[in-house]
Amino acid sequence: MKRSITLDVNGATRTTEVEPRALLASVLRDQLDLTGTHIGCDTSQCGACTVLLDGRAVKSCTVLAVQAEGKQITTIEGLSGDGRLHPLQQAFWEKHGLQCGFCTPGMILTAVDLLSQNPTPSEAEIRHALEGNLCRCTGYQNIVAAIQSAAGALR
Amino acid sequence: MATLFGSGIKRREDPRLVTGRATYTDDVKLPGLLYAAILRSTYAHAKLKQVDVAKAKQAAGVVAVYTGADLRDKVNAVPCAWNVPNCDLKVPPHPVLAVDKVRYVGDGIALVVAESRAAARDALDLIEVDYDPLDAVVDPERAAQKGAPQLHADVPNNVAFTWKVTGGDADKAFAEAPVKLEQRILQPRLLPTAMEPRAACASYNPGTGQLTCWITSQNPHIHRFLLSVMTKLPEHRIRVIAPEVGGGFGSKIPGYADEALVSFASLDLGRPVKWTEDRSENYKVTIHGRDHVEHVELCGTKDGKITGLRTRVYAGLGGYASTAAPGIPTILHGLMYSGPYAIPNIAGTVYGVYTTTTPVDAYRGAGRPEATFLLERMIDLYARKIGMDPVEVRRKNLIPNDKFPYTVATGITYDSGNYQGALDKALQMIDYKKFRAEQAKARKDGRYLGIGVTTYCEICGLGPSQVAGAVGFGGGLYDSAIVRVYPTGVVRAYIGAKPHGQGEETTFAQIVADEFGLPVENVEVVAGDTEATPQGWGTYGSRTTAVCGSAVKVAAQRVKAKAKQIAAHLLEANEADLDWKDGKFVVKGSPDKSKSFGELALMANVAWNMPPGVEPGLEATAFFDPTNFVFPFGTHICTVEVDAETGEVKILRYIAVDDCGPQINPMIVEGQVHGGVIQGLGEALQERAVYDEDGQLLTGTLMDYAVPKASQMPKIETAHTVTPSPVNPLGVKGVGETGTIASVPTLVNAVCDALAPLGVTHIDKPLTPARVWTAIQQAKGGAR
Amino acid sequence: MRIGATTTYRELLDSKPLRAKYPLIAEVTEHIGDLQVRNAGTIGGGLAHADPAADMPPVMLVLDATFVLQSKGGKRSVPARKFFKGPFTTVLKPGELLVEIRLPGPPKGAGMAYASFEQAASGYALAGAAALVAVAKGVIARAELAFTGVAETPFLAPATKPLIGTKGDPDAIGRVAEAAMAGVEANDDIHAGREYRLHLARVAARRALTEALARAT
Repeated sequence: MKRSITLDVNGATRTTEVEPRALLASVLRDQLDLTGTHIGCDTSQCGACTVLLDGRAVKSCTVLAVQAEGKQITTIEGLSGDGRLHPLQQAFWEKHGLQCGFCTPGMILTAVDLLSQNPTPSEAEIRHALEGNLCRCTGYQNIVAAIQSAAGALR
Repeated sequence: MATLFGSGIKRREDPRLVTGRATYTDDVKLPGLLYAAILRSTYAHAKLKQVDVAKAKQAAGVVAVYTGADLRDKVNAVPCAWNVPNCDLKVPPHPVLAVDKVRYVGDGIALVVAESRAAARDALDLIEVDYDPLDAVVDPERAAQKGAPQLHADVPNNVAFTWKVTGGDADKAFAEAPVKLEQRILQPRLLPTAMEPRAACASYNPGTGQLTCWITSQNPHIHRFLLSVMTKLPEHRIRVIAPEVGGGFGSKIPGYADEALVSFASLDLGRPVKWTEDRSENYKVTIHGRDHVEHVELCGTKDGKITGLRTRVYAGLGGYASTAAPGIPTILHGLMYSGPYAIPNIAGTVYGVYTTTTPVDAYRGAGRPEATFLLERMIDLYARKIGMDPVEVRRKNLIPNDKFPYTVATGITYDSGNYQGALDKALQMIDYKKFRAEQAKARKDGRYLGIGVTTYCEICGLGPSQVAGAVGFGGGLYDSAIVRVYPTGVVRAYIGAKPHGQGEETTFAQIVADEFGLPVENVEVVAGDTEATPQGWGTYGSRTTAVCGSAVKVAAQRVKAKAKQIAAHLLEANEADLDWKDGKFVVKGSPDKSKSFGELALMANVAWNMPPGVEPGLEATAFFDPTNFVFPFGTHICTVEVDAETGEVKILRYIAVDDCGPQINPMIVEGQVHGGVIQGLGEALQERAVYDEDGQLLTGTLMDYAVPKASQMPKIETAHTVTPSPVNPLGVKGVGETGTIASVPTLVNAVCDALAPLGVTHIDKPLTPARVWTAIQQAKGGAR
Repeated sequence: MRIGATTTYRELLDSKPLRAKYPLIAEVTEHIGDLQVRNAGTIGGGLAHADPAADMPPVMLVLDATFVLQSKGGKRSVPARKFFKGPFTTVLKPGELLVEIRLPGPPKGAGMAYASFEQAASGYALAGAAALVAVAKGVIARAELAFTGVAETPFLAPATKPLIGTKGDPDAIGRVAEAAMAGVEANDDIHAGREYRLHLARVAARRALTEALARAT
């Protein structure tokens, strides 16, 4: 029933046995111990499980692990290295773009994708890009500010 | 040295959160871990004829299956812990798994424990339940009528309590008043929707007899107590750890059957057991908020002086009384009927009613949003009736600045206030007169602009323990801190409260660092582990900073006093001759004779040369019990434009002027206001949990329950006034709930104001385009 | 133009030829799901799913697309206008996949537009209308109008004829929008009652037709 898949996760090759029905989010969390990817809903609305698949933000609760075979996955744990923060992580910190932090990994990874396509988004474009990421704490205002600030830093 | 108090420094908790290195409850993984899943009732109300678990027990990977009958004598019922007195409260038992009857969709029926999440879930499908369906009743007013389906044998008409609040003589006021009005107001049921679903992971060690339970908790000490009641283990044998907690909004206060079930399973099986709800389960099982049907009357003079308020409220409790449920629509609601106004005559009756729905408990604001909403809505209706500007009506009734402390008709005493100051500031920001002129012009062009102005105050900083006892709260409401200085001079504060997004790891570090003249990096705040922290009562009711923060302050002061004793000894000086300057005790007049905080920390910890009779170590514990609640206040203003063709509401500006006393970290305060306001705007515009008449939850996922999205919400303009509270050493008030309390009526009043020319007077929340459009059509029909 | 069924929404947005020829597809795609869903979701998947409130189906109807269906037994072509049978139900048979979407060239000078009202939680349409208007010699030569979210399936409005040969004045557009809802059995749910949904559909139709006409050259 189970089958072996090989994924490139945060630059490392990981091979694991999964059920064909297993969701990427569950495999990342339960089998690869990457618990920075969170699960906040079961209908692909909240975006807490967002990861980058070949550089593009996807909801890992709506991707089968077997679909990710051979692809590059970046989770929040792999976004930065060397003890330095990614400019978006830094900006979320500086602009108070998080409170409980549960939605934050997904927010940041969605923003990475947004800024890779549109380095100078307007406030409306940022809010539109965040439609698939719910935050119950911040009211979004400081998240928008953080993404604007990071956009400036990345330019 | 500049103080950290008042500085918007970056949060200490964020590096782990932005890098995905925080540990939430579902992230906990233990050797030999088993996974639990719970079979939930698909009926709202039914007799359980048979629960057949034979096939599930045989399924691959399943370790154990338990039913209500199996646990009846082994696990106690889920307790209700707020036994409000003088209201004939009836709390029927709430078994951890249903035994003979289910009372809401989601009521637990069986527990499966298996080697994997998937195996546990799969086995649920193999359990066969034979239900004998009964009639459901979801509306609290209807449930309280004769002939309604009865949930509990010993609760006639489903009425759990009848609670009354009176002050002055309301009946006389109404008999004499020239102006009277009434309105039926609905507070729809809401789904708290903390982004992190609830979870519990229990690990019982048969060798030590100790149970450790990780719980998504706002109040680990309360959960320890509730878990002790349910599992029958003594409290000292239970360690509750609330690790990182992903939001609560009240939904992680109550004790639930779920943590007792995994604890029992771990005790029974000798292996750790974890359960995590998904969002659909969260919406069915985790408490809901609000759910009032309110009949409200207001009376007053023709020139705007309010003379009386009467209410008759049906508050839905759901199938059982949740932990704090009876206190929410009573103590935290009815006692606030005067709001920021001097209303001499008040009479309220609140019926708590069981319905075949998910239990209702504290949700952000908990009782105060409902009180503020009904009052602010009535004031706008009153203003319209007497043809007076709604702002002037408010101004005329606000408690004057020179009257504090002020005791309102409901009997509670407000600590401090400057209500006019906040109102003036907000009106200035919006330029009220200018907006009214624009509105008049727009109306001529067939456009519908509106403005809503809310002046509010609320009760928080819960609270004096003596009052807690008097109102039947099953515990204290003090809070606690241990401030411990390490030999290196680093300080840790172990606190009783449990922040879960509010940033007290930072703000409390600011308090401590200021006390000792340390950089904030040298202070750490530890919370959420009952083995490490002293007894506390949790983070809710906007109490953490006012109560627990004060305990931190007092403990730090005690540590500093001891450090001074040691310094005096080492410097061979009198304590009276020492000054505290730049992080050192300095002998007056001899600037070269000093002892730094670091030197004293080391000496206290090695104790080589202590003053006679002084114990080694440098730490202190403080339990802070406030003398009163705190009453933050402010004015919120919203302007809107309504598209009368489609009913869509566009927010033009939203202004929040709040007074929570002195701010330790203004950045964090502002964040609380943003989040609170948006949560309230969700309530005002789009959130509503809907049951059909069979008790099925139609808004069972985020596909149908409209939590606000970034693209749907406006930018908030914030400002503050600062009026210290006299009831705690920091002078602070709470700000966690003010946004939600104030924003709901502000938006609704703005929309009703916009549509006044069409004859619309009231629209039930949430103001979805469909409802706004329907109200416009009805008003047009009425005009014909 | 042919679009493979597993083309993601993101790829549709990134395609310059598609945007040049069928700007409406890009415009509508921007409103489907959210950023992450557009990265992973496919046009074929969405159409075959046949959610009665999805945004893309009415676009396929006004463009008169043809869907290529394939099974082990072979291929067949079905007009989009005959593909949708009911909520989440299509003419697809067991073992059959939607593999390709074929779009005829749009009429010369055609303007296209989409107007919709979203359900606040899911983002699906409470009511949405797609319109295509082609103008020749100063008058409307062709007008197509299709709806989503209103009934059990997306559907093409039969009654756009009164616009043909006219300049499309607001009253005429309003009458067509009104007539389009005649006899329609509209959905009624917790998000929008029947009457409101019909009203929104009329408003969407009027706005889409008006905008499509303005875009026609």
